[in-house]
Amino acid sequence: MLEIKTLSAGYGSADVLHDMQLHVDAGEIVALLGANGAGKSTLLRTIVGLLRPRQGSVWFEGRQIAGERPEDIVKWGISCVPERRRIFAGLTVQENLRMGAYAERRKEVVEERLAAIYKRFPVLLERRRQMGETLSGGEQQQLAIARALMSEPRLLLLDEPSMGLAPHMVQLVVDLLRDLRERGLTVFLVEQNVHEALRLADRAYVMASGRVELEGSASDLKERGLELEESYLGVA
Amino acid sequence: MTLEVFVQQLINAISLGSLYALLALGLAMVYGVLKVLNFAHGDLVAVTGYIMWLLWMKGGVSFPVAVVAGILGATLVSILTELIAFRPLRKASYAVLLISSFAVSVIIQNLVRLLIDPRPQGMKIPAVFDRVMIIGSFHIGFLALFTLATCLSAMGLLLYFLMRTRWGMALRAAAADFEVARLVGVPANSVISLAFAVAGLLAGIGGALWVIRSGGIAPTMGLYAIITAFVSNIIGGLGSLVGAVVGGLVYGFLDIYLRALLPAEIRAFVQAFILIAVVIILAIRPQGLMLKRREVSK
Repeated sequence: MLEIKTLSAGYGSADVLHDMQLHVDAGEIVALLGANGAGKSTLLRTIVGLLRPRQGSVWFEGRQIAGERPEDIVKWGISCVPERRRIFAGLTVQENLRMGAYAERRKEVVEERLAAIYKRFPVLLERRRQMGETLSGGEQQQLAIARALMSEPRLLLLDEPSMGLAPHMVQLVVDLLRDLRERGLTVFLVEQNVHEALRLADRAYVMASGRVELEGSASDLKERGLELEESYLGVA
Repeated sequence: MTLEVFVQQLINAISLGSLYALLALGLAMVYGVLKVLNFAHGDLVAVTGYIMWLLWMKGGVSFPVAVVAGILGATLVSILTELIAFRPLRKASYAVLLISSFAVSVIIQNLVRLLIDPRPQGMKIPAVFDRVMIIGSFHIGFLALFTLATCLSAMGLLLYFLMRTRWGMALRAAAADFEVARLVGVPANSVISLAFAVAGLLAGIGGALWVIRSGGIAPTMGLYAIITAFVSNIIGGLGSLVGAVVGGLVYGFLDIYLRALLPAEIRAFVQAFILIAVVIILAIRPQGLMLKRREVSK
């Protein structure tokens, strides 16, 4: 579904990603692990079109999308939950959700999606008239995921979804992503929280200094947990 | 100051303040999406004035038509400014964009000097604007009421546009987080053009009122307009639309009341006294009146 080939990208004159290779198949939950500064967010920024790669390609459902504009990529079925949620301040919860479906012009379709989202996230229905930024961290994470779902993506990207969340909120997000996968959504998430990520994912890649260093099934990587953390993730 | 004079000045202050607010709002709209001050914004006032002058004083077109043409002209020039001076520099730094907008300002001013006339020109204003309405013991100028009504209507329409339409919501989202707005499908180029179009429209309406008040035009008239709009934004809090309106009103109040209260000998320096007042406001609230402290410098 998503295939990244010999991808190099970076800012200014410095490359952050070197010759990246990875793929995500339809229906999978794949995690990308790595320490701070390994290039995980840079990879996501390249996939969604915020960063133009220097080299290589990103294939999504048979279409080369590297270097395309973010506003087009979302229309082709990729949606993103950015790091730190990045809820639109000054917009209500409901407006934040409507913005998620901005690419969809048919009003009745947007209303249907909104109703479905409120069914799945009752807390957002309750708070729909509140300003997005006044929600608690966990509620904001739900809003960020719900906003991303409003475009009805086939591939959902998440950047550090567990960051700053209380354990029960992390569990809620994990359950939510599992349930979405059951309904046919493919998930690619970036995480520093190795244990949570491996508990959720089918497969995982481990990144260090802009390269893929390891890949394998989540259960294999879990067995190598300690070694993983010591060698690649900078946890002593 | 008698009560009558105080009330009359109050109406003048709200009226002039609403005009300043309109100009400040345009600057704030563009700042919202680009996080850059467009220093050519003030020159849109001159563009409006010169189009009005050419059509009404030279071309024999009726005054209302000249006004509408001036407003549309300012809108068009604003959109073109973005296409020519900002779009090719989309990835450039803040400083580069600032200089680019200065260049547009210099070009507009010198085009006016070359193509029309370097000297200021007088503009004949229809007599209706000079009328004074006498209500009881109050003397209220028609122009002050007309300015206030026009500015309030323009702000009302802007508010409706921003809060109730899909494009308005996209503009607000893009001002809150431009990248994420693109991620959900807002086209970057269109939303920036839209911000410049709205800013140009507001500057055109404000510019027409400005010219009617002053009764004349000059190539450099945009300088005072941009300073007013900029200082209004700083007073209210740069980046906040409500701040732009509040800042404009505060500026209008300072302008009118300082003129009324200062002794005649130093009235010529009213600008300096306004800026002293602004310095005092900023000393107390460095982030501007309408922003919370943590919202400054994201």
